[in-house]
Amino acid sequence: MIRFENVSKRYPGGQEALSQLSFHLAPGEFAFLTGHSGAGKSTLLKLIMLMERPTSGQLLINGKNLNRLHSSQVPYYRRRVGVVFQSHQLLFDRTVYDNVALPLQIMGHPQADIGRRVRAALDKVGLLGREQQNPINLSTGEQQRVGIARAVVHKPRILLADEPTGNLDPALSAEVMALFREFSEVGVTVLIATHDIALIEPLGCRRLHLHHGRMSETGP
Amino acid sequence: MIRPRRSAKPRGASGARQRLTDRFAGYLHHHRQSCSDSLIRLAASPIQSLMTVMVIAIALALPAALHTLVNNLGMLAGDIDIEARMSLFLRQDAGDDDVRLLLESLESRSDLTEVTFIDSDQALADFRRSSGLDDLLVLLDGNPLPATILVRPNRELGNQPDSLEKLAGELAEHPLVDDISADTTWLRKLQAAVAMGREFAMILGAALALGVLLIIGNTIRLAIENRRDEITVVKLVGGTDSYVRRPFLYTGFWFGFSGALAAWLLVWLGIALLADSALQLAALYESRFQLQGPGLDTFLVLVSAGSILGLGGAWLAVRQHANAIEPE
Repeated sequence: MIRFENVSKRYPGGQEALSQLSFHLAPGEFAFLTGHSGAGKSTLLKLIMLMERPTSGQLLINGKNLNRLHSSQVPYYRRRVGVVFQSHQLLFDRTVYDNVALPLQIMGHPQADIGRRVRAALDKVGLLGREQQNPINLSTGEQQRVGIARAVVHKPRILLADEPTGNLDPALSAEVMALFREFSEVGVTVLIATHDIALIEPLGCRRLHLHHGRMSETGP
Repeated sequence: MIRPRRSAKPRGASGARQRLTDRFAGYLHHHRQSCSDSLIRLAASPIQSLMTVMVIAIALALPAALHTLVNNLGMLAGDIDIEARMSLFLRQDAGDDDVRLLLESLESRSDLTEVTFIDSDQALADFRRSSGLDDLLVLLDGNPLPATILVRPNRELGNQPDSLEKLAGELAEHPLVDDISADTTWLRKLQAAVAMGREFAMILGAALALGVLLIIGNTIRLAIENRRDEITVVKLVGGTDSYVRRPFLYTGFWFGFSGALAAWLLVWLGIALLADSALQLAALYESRFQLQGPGLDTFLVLVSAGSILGLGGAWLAVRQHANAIEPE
């Protein structure tokens, strides 16, 4: 599903954020991306989101080479990917419902369909009944879950998360991880960047470790 | 349900597999939503919006008002029969029969619509009444005023100084006619002034249109800046550039449209304020001329120009600023 072939990313100024990465994630695979801050985790996720383009190497998603994707096609590509941020990136000028509905509205889903899917997504993250609230009135954990609901409401095939548990206590973190796990079990390819080794150690999942832009791997 | 079904082929890229009719319905929905949302946003900050609308309105009202005034002046020039009327002063020794023949020949002409004979006694009486110089006139031995024939050229001729002068020359050649008064310079000046006024209105219009474009562009630029976070998120979850553009284009449209409506009202108001003094002025020229407000054509031009400038200004701002916002 996600295939990196000798991917390097060098920022202007000469600093190489990622060098010669090669790995493959199968459909429905669940993997962690670990490493210290500055190791290149975010850069790697940005490459998959096409927020950055690789300096060299091939990045194939579902068999398609992203290098050949024209920039006008980027929005349509992004609709197949769900992404969760540490800074949840919610919009405080609208309700929880409207935040979660945004990807579906952009894709032009029928209104009735949107209502059904948004409620299902909120139900999944345990926030059903809060859809008319403003996310600013929610706790950090709840905001993070709204972000997750928004990332999965359009049933993406790939789910990326950048430090999704960064602001959460251990109990909530474990809950969120379990949620991600469920998505992978139904075929979504999940890649989670985190530095919280203690949290993921017991899960025994595949781990892609970045160190100064180079990858080493430990697996289950 | 959010839980994707367990299957060998997970349903994922639903965006690509939606029915076309659904996508079109969604597209229309976003248009409707952007259209009303942008209006609601304007109403949410009424003072600020009103100020912008008024700036646009004044910029659009200036050329529109000038155009309306020039049009009025043009109508006035067409309406003026004082100047288009010619006075044929007859020789003192003209015999009554000759004068009658002349009158008949003038009345039979197709380029004259009105022929009025004023004999010298009548002319003196008129003069006495209008001048108030009774005391002085008593001192005169006889009647110094000649008999006069007033002729009014038909409407076509009345607006063309060249033809009028040609006609005057022709009439002056008649042996009974001592002198002819057909002053066309005033008409020429008025027509030149109207032509210049029209051009000036065009130039002013073009300059102020550019101003409106920049005002709206700048307003939209600020709106984009205020919604930077939203644009970032929208782009991250797959919003196209045109999706991002849409609400701002509607905002620009509303600014231009409402500015044009306000401009139209301003012009009406200005004309209404001027109407009374215009009537008095016209009365002095023995004209029943009335100031006309901006017509339907002015209204349509104003509203379409305003809307197009609104859209255009927003387009410039969006191209430059919204497209540049990329998630980081």
